Amino acid sequence: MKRFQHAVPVIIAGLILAAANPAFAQKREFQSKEELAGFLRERMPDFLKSDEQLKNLVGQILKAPLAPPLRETFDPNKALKALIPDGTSVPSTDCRRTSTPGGERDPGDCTATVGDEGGAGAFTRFSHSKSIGFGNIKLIKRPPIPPQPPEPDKLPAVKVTDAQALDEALKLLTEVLGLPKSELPLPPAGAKGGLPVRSLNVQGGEDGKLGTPITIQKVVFLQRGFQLGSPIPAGPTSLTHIPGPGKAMVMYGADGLAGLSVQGWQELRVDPDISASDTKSGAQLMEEIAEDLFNDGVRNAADIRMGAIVSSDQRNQIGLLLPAVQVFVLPVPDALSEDGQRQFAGQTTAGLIREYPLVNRKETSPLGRPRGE
Amino acid sequence: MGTRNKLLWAANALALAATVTFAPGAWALYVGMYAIGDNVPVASGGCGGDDRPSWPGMAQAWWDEMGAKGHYQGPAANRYKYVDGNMIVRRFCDPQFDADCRDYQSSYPAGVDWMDAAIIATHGWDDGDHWGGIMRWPDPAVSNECALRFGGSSTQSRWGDSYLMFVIASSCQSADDDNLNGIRFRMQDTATSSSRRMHQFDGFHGIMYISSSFNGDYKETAKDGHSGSIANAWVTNHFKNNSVGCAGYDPWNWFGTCQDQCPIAYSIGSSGADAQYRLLNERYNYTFSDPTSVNYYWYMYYEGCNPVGENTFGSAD
Repeated sequence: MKRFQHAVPVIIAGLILAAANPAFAQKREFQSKEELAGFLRERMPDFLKSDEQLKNLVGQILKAPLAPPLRETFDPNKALKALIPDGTSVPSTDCRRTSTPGGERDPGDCTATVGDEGGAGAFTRFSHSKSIGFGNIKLIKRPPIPPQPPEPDKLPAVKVTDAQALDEALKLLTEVLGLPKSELPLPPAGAKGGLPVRSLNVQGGEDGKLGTPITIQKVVFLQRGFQLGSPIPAGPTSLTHIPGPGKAMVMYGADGLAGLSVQGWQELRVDPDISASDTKSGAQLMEEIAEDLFNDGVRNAADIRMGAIVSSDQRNQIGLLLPAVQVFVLPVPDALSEDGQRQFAGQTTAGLIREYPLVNRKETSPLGRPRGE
Repeated sequence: MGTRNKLLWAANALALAATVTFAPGAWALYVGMYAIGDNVPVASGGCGGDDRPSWPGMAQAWWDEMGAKGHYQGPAANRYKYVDGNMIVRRFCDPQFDADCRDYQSSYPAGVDWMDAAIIATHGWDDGDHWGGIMRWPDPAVSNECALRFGGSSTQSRWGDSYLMFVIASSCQSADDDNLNGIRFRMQDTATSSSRRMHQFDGFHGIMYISSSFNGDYKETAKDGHSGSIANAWVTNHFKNNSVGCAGYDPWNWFGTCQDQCPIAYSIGSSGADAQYRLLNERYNYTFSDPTSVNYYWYMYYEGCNPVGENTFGSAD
């Protein structure tokens, strides 16, 4: 009763603020884990709510075919020859060290460079994980710094179209770097979201008057995904693929390939100790997420969005495949007006992203601490 | 930039010759981090805001990599890593605004304008025509102020008149499209110095996201900001393409339900050519002299970037 009495002025203040500003009204405040759990229940997609659907989802994920890993398909010498064809690159001596002093696989990179990183001239850096199971590959190409600033509108714009950029990126990623085509889902024809290609622009201003934007790069963004054996009904459609650990970006400038980045394309294995029968119940999952978020300080949200993903329990350079749910906590509503934005002065604004396994894990023996290979 | 950096350059050049070599005209930067992950509730006398425990780790990933590259992270007794604690606005505001402001301070806790490059991580918002960032405690010496304010009509924080050249604002709405024109005004303080100015400000249009899985993005920003331009390193490593807040049935954005995280890199100059040149070429290991005015600005962004909390970048509000 006492707590409620103290809460009354806060509730009234909140109602007044909400009435004055509809954007603010969309923000929910949680005084308890149970209130947060209630909001989660409202926002959770149906296919993550029911125990039967969760079990089916986990079963599908565990059976999703895994393509051969980069360890079998990535040839660093072939990649180097293709990306730095004139053979002038200098590898770092660190490439020869593949283990840490503790005997684990070195998660660092092997790097080859052309030019002086610290100078004004052109510079190229090609790097890849020493143990490619960690899944990182990067190319940076830097043009020389012009001796004088050129006229800003003379900056060369990229000419390749979105479709051309995507085609070339796919060839590069699959034929040169060995990424599997089967794990690069592409949008179907007519997809509302369009092609996964964005324009990187620069634009100038003087006293608030803006010049014409110049597109300096077309950047292709690809997310790793795994095809499910049978589509999972999900709201207005069905899920055919689930995102997994690994992203790829390829950048094209006015002079062609400007860079690329493959990030976290882990070598995955199915954990033999996990099966669909280990799936958590919907209630258990909700409770776990609510408790974790609340105890970590989440007290406000305008929205919470969730989706199924393939996560991994990383053991050195190998990731044990882990069906999971990814949760986005959004403290502010979308598309706020300028007045709406000001209402969030001094409030929580940064979004939060977390992942939670969909399965209960068996504890490993105290004598058998898991190690990678 | 002043005598301090040139003397330190000489000392560091000798010390670092075996591991990192800086080009002539470049020197080790003083680098600092200011991060809040454990906010203090208003009911406990603090400034409020929900905790984000992973946030300091993200900022530290940048700071650690800058140290690994040979930049200066402070003496043993005053490492330039400030997390939670007594994070108050005095470290950020300019003494021209309030005599108790200490953004220039070198002793513990060092102010942000003592640094050459700094990262600031805290909840932020669009405060009208400028960025506002929440502090941990109200500052009793500065009218119990709970917010850092930078840009536009706010005269509270003015950086670059001491040493600061590069700022990363890991903070929501720190570089909203409608506030870009005003950022440049606070990248100088002509009452203190007519020649010293900041070079670049990097932030976000709309909201940004916290996750320990993003530590690598911050580390790579520091790393790539030596191989290529800081601007490109910032936007490339922090753009999240149609991958945040998707509806559960639409992880690939095939139905257009996903949104972006929108990083913005912003440089100033005495002409359009100068500002563009700096944006495209300046690196942590290859810095230019201070801009001679703030009259022009150029910025880098992804076209059509659509974050939560703001309209599509460049669209009318």
